[in-house]
Amino acid sequence: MATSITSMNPKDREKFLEELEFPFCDEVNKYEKMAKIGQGTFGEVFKARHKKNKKIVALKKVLMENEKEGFPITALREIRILQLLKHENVVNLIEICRTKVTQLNKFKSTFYLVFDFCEHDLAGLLSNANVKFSLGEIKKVMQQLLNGLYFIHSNKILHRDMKAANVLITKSGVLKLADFGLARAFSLNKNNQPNRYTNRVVTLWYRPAELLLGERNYGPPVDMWGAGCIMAEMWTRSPIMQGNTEQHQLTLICQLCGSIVPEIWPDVEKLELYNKMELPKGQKRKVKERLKPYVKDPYACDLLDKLLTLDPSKRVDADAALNHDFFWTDPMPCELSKMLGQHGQSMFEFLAPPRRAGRPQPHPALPQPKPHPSADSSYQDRVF
Amino acid sequence: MDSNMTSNLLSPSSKFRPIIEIATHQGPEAPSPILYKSVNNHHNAQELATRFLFECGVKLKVNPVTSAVAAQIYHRFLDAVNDSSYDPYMIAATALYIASKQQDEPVKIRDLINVVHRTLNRDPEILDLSEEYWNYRDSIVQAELLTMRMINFKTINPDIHLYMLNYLKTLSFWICPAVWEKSPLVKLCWTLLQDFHHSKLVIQYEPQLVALAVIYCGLQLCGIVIPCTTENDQLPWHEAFYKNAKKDEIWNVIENFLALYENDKEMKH
Repeated sequence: MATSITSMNPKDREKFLEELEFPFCDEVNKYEKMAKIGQGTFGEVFKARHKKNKKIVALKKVLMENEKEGFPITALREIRILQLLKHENVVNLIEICRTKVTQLNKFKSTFYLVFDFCEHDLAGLLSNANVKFSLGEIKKVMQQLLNGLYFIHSNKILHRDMKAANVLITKSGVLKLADFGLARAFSLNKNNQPNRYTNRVVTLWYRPAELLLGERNYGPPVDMWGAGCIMAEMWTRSPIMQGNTEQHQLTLICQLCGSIVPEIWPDVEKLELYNKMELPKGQKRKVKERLKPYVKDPYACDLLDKLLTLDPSKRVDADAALNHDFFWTDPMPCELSKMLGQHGQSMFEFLAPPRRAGRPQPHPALPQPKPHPSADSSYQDRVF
Repeated sequence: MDSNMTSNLLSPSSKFRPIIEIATHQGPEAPSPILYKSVNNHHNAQELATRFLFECGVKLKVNPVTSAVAAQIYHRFLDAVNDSSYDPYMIAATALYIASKQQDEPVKIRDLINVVHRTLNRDPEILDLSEEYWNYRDSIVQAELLTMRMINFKTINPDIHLYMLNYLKTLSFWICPAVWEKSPLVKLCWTLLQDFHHSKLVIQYEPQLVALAVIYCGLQLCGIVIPCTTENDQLPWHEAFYKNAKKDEIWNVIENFLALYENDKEMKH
């Protein structure tokens, strides 16, 4: 296993490493960084410009520190999935770039995923009170979002981190699903063998009840729940269920969607955490009545009701949602470019002042804070 | 813990005795061990490295498709570097490591190193967390990044396998069920395709063409004729699947691949 390079003396070795050529993988310094536009557990995101052709891109750094198993499989998954998914409503991966190795970085390259730049993210737009969406514009946003989901689901990919901050919108009004860092391929159950995916996915506020109850054999409906949360947010302007803990999130879901019982969700009692979590009894489903003050359009309320269905097997899929009357009645979906044209500045959640909750949205990979003793009573109806 | 056992553990004779005898662990199909390290010429080592790769794949219990993807990564790397001084076994091990991640059945680096170490050395010494272990580890982690940069992070999909599966599925509706069920065609095609991954030609031809060549070869070997077709058809069955798959082309591919088996005989002697 001794390569010739290990037998070189250190000086020669360093020179050799510095001069290695990678004809197919360009150096990142062909772009110049302009600003940092995102930060999360996944790493940093920068806005940058191509030095020659001036094209604006987003650079997402691949975090490699503390990696025990080489190049992170999550990054590799994201790359593989993005290479597969080429669609108008999915963020476009241009290439992968590297830094040149020098003594300064201890001869270790850093890698960047290079994306087409999008001016806004939906969380940033919604947190800006000056940005007003008309009903037709909301329809256009949701139609594009569902189109993107329809495409990825029919390619057997789950996004698993749907939230407003991961929905990008270009200045010309084209919506792009982004951040496939948690995405994975899914399969229909083979030989009746249930899948065993991790249920520690999806940012808490957008996480559906089946994941909170420990389901590991889940599928596209987990993304549809997130789409429902995002759709409601188009009117409420802040996430509709902002739980502090998994227990609290479930309580909020029950308060909105009614009690979780086998009568409305057959076999729910078989889920691992069904008996371990506290599920409020006797709650009536009030999705429509609670959202009505915000969402005047009856078709919108009806679609929201179908997206925020507790039982994942009954939750509407992307195809059926796109066929809903909401998208096919006046006012019809209309272009966003005109409205966005009034706002010259980029809007990202990272750059925006914190929204109503006053704290960043908990990321799924992080341990959630412990519940407050009196949580359940004091949180009622807080969001609406 | 009883005292007898304790003394046994401490006695030098039983120290580091493998818990499972390796010989009994290998199935009847395991090929006779190749002494990879004693191959003196580098060109042969480069060719043997795919054998090493598949052997490690079997020992790590990865899906055969993952090993095939790894072999394609290996060939692509050698194709891109124009430099033959890289240790082919290290590149093969790295290719397996990358493929296992790409195929979503990641292999632990510790397991990979253990398997690589035993396969290369064929000696029963267990690899401790020694300097040698860390050298292996550094080499693989570095080579992983090197390889991915060389192949430009391109995801390798098992295209040939997928095409072959689809073609075979279609043919299964066409060939008389009695013949189809009795013949070993599908298993034979699968084996041939895995074997073809020992040659770098596997990444040079179009995947459709390789898939059809494998099936064509399999049909010949099983003596199966596609019903209602003759040699002089306007549109032979293989061209119906893929219009570039002319008969001459297919034969060309088959001949090139069958040369592998001749090389194999030479290499063993």
